[in-house]
Amino acid sequence: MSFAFVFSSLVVLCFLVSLVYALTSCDVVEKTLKETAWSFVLMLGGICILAAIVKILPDILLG
Amino acid sequence: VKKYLVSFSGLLFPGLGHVLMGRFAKGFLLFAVLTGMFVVGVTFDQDYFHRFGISPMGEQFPPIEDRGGSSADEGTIDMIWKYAFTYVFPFITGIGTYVVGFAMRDMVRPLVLTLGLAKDLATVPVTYKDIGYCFALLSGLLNVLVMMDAYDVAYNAELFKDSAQDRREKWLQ
Repeated sequence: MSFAFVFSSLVVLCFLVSLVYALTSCDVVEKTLKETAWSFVLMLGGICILAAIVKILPDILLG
Repeated sequence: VKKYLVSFSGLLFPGLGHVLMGRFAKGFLLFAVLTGMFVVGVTFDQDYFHRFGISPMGEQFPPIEDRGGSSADEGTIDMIWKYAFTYVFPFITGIGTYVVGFAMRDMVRPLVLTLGLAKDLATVPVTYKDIGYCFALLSGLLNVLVMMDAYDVAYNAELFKDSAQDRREKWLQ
């Protein structure tokens, strides 16, 4: 199982969801691009942080 | 009535509501993104169209007993989800997109082999199938968001007398 493939799928999915969200939220092109970028960073960042917490926290708690 | 028609036109193709309101670029982009997501999804999830053993297109599949299960295992929620997924979800994802994906499935299936993700179509790992399922489901759920936005656009156009005709004329100039 390729981690790169799974992670790149997540990145693509986050980008597409951000793009659709931005398209439905803004009418101006510049604002749409900015909204896409911000929502992409927040969504992917949030998922990565959550994944890290879920993976790391049990190790810390369980020693 | 118009705003409801515009909104529910998304049940045919994603982004159709925006196109009807004269927002061509946005409508076509939404169509491309959501249809692309759905096609990628059904490429990876080889069993998408008969995931629960029944297909809205009238295809026959082995009964659940032949697949190692028992119909007694299916609870009420299972049955509701099975029929909702098979007969309602195609409309949520856009019936046109669904039919195009269904028609193209034999064409796009070998892409999994081209990408080197499996040795043959029968042994595609379940993780890839789940990723595909996620893409296809999300395309439908995002289409609901797009339909709500189309309703909002139509509502505002009605409210501010910003007719679709004006937008079309501006676009054609």
